[in-house]
Amino acid sequence: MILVPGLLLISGFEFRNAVAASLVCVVATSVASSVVFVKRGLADLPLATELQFFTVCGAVGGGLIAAHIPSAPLYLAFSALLVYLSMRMWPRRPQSSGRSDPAPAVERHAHAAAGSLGAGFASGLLGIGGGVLNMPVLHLLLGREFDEAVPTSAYMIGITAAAGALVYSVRGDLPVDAVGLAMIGTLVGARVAAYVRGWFNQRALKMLFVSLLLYGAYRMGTNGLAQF
Amino acid sequence: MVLTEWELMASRSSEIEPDRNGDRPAAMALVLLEALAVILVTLAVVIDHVGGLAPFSAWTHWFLLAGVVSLLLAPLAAVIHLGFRFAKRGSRRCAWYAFGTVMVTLLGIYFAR
Repeated sequence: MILVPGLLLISGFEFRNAVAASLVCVVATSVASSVVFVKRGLADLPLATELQFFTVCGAVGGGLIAAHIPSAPLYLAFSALLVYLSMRMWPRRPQSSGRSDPAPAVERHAHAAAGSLGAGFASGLLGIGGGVLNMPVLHLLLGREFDEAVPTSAYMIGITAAAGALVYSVRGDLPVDAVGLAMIGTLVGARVAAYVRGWFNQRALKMLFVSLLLYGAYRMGTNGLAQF
Repeated sequence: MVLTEWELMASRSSEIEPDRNGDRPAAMALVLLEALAVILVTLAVVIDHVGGLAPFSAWTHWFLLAGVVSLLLAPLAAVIHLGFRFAKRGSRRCAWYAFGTVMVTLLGIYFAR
């Protein structure tokens, strides 16, 4: 989520190049975690296989459409997404799960397919993993518990991002030379972060991350407006 | 009563129980292709930064490309394996979704060219 703003604002990448590089890094982190989830049977593979068809359709569509959209609206869309995420991550008291009365199975499956399509589209267009949209689908719509929804979502993210990244790479938008280092950095960073996670105050970490997201939203928003 | 396609899908989905045994071959495909990607990319980075390996610098780009492609193919390999596994277990709907996922990815690659 912070890789696209980082590559755009610090390294001066084009939007499409940054999205492609981010998608490769998303695949790297997803594959690293999926190995454990798939081996131990923590991910619901039949459900993931169904939903990933829709996320991949969305990711491929998003990746193909991205070539025809100017950068300015994409900057603004990403800025709005960062604001939404920072609001969701804002530290607050624990609440009830917020699940409403279950809708009929047919309706839930239709909504889950639509939600997965949207998550894939956002992933292919903006270079995000799509977990932020997959999790509500799995947890709120389909009633999966968090400890089952997280591995299932992590597995789905990998194939979704890989489909999007393949579209970008075939089109020549993937900066291969820069992606290699970013990929290694992401893999090393993910393992180090998992190791040192307990050393820091979680609330302070969340506040720091929210501040980063809001700063990224501000910079992406102003860059987008400047391009109009 | 005539059931719509969605109603049929919803009624069948409850028949498929989540697999708690895991899938070692899919995990192996993921871990092997990830390891290959890491080795190739690391090799490219080392060649690029170690002066004594300058004669091999022309290969750097290809090592990087092969590494990235290997990583991107890892989830696809797992999906293809799961497609065959679902087909073997009789979960034809899941198998079709798995092969459909691969087909959509290939179509995306075709249209992106």
